[in-house]
Amino acid sequence: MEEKELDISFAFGIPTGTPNGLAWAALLSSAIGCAAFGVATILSESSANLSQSLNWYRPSGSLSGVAGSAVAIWLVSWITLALIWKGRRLQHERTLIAVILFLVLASLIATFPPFYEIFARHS
Amino acid sequence: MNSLMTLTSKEYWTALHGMVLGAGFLLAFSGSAISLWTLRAEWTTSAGSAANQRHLILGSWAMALLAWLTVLVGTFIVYPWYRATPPVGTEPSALVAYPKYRLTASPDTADWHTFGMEWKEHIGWLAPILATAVAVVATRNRRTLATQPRLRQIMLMLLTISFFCAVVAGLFGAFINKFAPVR
Repeated sequence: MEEKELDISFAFGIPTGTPNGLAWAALLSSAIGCAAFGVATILSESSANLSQSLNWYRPSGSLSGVAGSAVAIWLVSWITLALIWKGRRLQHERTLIAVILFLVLASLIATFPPFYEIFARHS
Repeated sequence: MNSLMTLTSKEYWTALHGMVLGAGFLLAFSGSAISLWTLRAEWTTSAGSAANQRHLILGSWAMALLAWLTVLVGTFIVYPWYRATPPVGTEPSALVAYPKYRLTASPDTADWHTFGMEWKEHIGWLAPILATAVAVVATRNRRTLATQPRLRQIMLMLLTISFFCAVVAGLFGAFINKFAPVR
């Protein structure tokens, strides 16, 4: 039997069914931003051309573009999800937690040097 | 004695990056995590809950701000000094001013760059993104957070992962600066 979450909001003067869409939009978009950082790291390692195109600030090298593109993707996904989920109460919280954890753990693996060096260009 | 207790401007920036901003982030974690952990409707009175909310908002925004300052100073000020390329023909003994090349010049120390610095420079960037999301939710949902256990659970997980990222970056930063300091 699946455990049901007990909603005791009413006991604290909080209307039941309070919208939570904006909160989940902020959390999921941060995971998307982290995953984007991981993907950009792998792309930067795998191709000299991509690494060069991510070299936005020469003294810092491609790290500047990897970080900049991940932050841009994070903010765009945040705005998009917030527009879609504003005023809504999302019910599938366990699924959302699983997706967020998957994306964040994937980004941790993707930024681990022994992993992303598998994709390193051999030049 | 006075001449021994001076720092170059590069050393000041490196100390600000690691010992002030980075260490501040790590210190702020414990307070934020405890505030989030204890913010439960069934554990606190409304007055206690309000105090917890204030501590959580203050702590999580401190973490987010410190994390952003740490990665920005690290990536755009300290890191360029670390990876600066020495002129062609530079003697190995003159690589002191070029930490990356000093480390990679010897197989005994190369892993501090190829593993340590490479991991640090990437994983550190995940910390401010995650900490910012937690701070925003802690602020926007402060009144309802005590009655939303799933939201608190994932926030605590993300805050802890953010802390882990900063610990990895901080530890490797300290060790690398010991072997090949930015001067």
